[in-house]
Amino acid sequence: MSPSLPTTAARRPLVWMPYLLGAGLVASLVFVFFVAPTELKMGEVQRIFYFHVASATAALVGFIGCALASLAYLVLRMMRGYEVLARVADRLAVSFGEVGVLFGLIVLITGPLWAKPAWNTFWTWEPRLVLMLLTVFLFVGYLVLRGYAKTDDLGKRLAAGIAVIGGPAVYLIHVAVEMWGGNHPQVMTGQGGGLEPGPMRTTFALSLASLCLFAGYLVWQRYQHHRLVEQVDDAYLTLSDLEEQP
Amino acid sequence: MSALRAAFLILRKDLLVELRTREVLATMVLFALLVVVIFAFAFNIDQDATQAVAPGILWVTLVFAGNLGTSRVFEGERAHGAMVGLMLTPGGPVAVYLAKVVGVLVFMLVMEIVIVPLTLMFVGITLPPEGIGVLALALFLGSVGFALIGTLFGAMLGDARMRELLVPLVVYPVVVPLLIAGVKLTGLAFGQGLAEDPADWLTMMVGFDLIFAGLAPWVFARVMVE
Repeated sequence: MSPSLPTTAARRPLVWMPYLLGAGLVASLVFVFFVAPTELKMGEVQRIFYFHVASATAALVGFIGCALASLAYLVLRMMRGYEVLARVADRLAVSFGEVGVLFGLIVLITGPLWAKPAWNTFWTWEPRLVLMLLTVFLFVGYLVLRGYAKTDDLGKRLAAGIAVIGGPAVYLIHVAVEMWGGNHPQVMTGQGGGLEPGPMRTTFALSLASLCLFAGYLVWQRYQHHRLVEQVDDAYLTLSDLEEQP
Repeated sequence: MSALRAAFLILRKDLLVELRTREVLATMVLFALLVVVIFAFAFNIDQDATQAVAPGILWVTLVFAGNLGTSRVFEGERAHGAMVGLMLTPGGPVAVYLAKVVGVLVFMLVMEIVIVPLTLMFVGITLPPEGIGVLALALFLGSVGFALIGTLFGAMLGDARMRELLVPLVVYPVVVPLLIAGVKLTGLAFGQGLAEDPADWLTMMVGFDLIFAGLAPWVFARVMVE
């Protein structure tokens, strides 16, 4: 019953991915520090924007992915014949949630670093900041709960329920804090980016692409991790069942 | 009609139990009263400062006290091993959830009838007559939204490990829109700050209540049933 071990390349597809990511991230840094011109009003600190906004985008994708995959899990697990897909959705949800929280924390760290010179304060009760902070809280709650779940189905359902409520909740928090008012720079507006074509826009596009690719790779890695953990758990359960029989 | 009837019977059972024990309401009201008094001390720099933070005091108190009501929403059923039976009642999980939400809402409204006038008295605010409608509407819409979210998470996390950490961690961020709108509207009702149109904030609260009135029963049914 032991299948032949697959070859390295088959066992680890995308094995070249770290090199591409490394090159992309290094190139982004080079562009951020040497190609992009210094912003006139804010000066050098503005350079943090390229990673800050790209991380915020990756975090957003992570949270949306987590909420959607959780929704899929809650739908699929009740349907006959879709048990395997339901487990895929559950693993995807955790992976997206983990990566979302990671990039959310990066945003919450790079934001104050920029805000201290620009606004002369590390933290201010401003809509975007509050939104990111509360969203990170919510998904940390999701991860804590999902962390206890292990093999039990109830924990997974509870965590998925939180993520599904979290989706519209984040939207409502966004609406509420926007109505409340604030002074966050609005670079990305509905009327297209505020960045003129040129080195700044190229640099931003490059860092956005590399960080989002990095986030996607992390999601994929975490997904493989959770799949392996479940396989080990399943094997352990099968083993203890076998041992109980005389 | 059987779903509505089942929901009504569950609600009647909960209210009867409460009428005979008065456990939940007494806890909520006394706790809320203590929070208001402690806040009044903590912010008692001068009369003006206390009045300026009064809307915040009121809403934080209501959310804290409401949490007492929602975190134990299925405690009776859990303690007596009746959860499975309850979920199998004719109305199904959605009826159970709606009955519990209405129960929590009744507790919250009763608590507010006691606590809000006392808070106004403690901080020395006389409510202008034209503000009564806005305040009552804000309290009602806020309580509906809080009951929807609090009951769902209270039920889901009722016997989870680290409940004391998890319930606030997920409930408070979700109800933040209600808190912001509630504090704004209460300030308007008190005649504080700039005269704004309360309609936008009330619309936001109605939207919050409608979205979760649609979504929360579905999540409850999907999560609570094996």
